[in-house]
Amino acid sequence: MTVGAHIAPIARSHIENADIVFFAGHPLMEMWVTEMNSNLHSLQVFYAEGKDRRITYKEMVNAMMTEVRAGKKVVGAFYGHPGVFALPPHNVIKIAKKEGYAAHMVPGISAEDCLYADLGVDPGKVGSQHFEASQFMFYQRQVDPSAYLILWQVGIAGDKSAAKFSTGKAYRQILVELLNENYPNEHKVALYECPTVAIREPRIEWITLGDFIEAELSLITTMLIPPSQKLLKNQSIIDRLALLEKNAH
Amino acid sequence: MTAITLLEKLGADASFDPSLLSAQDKETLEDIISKANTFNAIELISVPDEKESEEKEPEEEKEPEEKQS
Ligand SMILES: C[S@@+](CC[C@H](N)C(=O)[O-])C[C@H]1O[C@@H](n2cnc3c(N)ncnc32)[C@H](O)[C@@H]1O
Repeated sequence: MTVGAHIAPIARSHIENADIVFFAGHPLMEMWVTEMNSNLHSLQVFYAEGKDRRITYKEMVNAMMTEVRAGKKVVGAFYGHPGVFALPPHNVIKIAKKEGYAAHMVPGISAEDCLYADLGVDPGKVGSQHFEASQFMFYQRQVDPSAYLILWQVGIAGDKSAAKFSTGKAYRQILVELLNENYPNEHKVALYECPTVAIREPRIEWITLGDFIEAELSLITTMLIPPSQKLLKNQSIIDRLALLEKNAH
Repeated sequence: MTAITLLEKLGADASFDPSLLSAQDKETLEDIISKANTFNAIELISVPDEKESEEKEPEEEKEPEEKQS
């Protein structure tokens, strides 16, 4: 998210008062958070291309837990909302609690929040469904094409190895074919990236679903797919509700 | 002001007008932005194998069993 803008006062206070801060996010955000607490350790060091991210996430959790067990006041500062599409923050809190330490999460401002603001989308208008792109491909999901569909981590869509930094066109081709069950190739979708600094504009690129295969994606790209169908009335429920109201009078 | 303080102000202070940045400040900002490496934003894993569910989550704490009355 954006340096300076997207931090809750309580999160800032926890960071300022911590003995040690572990940080996961953009290097500029890291510099910003270092101004709040100079004892900052980057969690980025645990990533490596070709390395299974299950190991990476365990190492992140271990690094934090080692300091917790040493009696330190530890903050894990993760960009966005730490509990949204993010495994290590949930895991470290569960483990810390299980070992008897006080641990809790404070909410942050997620990519999702920025998307709603920048694209002028209200998730409540017709409903919205969020999936991690790879999970959406690996498992059979019931898509509601009359609601928004938001796919996260599209830059690594279809990565079974959990070790890639990007997946290519062949993977996206499969994702598009899967989406074609509900959305034609001409359907307009948005590629969204919230800027890291306030002097940059957000990336809001409307393309056709078919063009998604060739699109430039990064690890921070989120895809918004608007509904392809109108809401269908559930007449039998409407009728039953009408009967209730009629009987109440 | 350091580049990061400037960026913080740009993000946090609605009355801070970016068009009033001096040429030198703009240069400092562009410099720090262009030098910043990209980062790995991926923090969630979905792997369709059996091992995944064990590796993925530490064991859920069990709810205390309901007493039969
Ligand atoms: C592991 S999730 C973490 C999300 C983060 N916890 C949050 O609350 O935004 C990573 C995914 O979030 C989305 N994301 C992260 N940064 C983003 C940004 N600056 N703009 C748009 N989407 C972003 C992308 O879909 C990316 O692949």
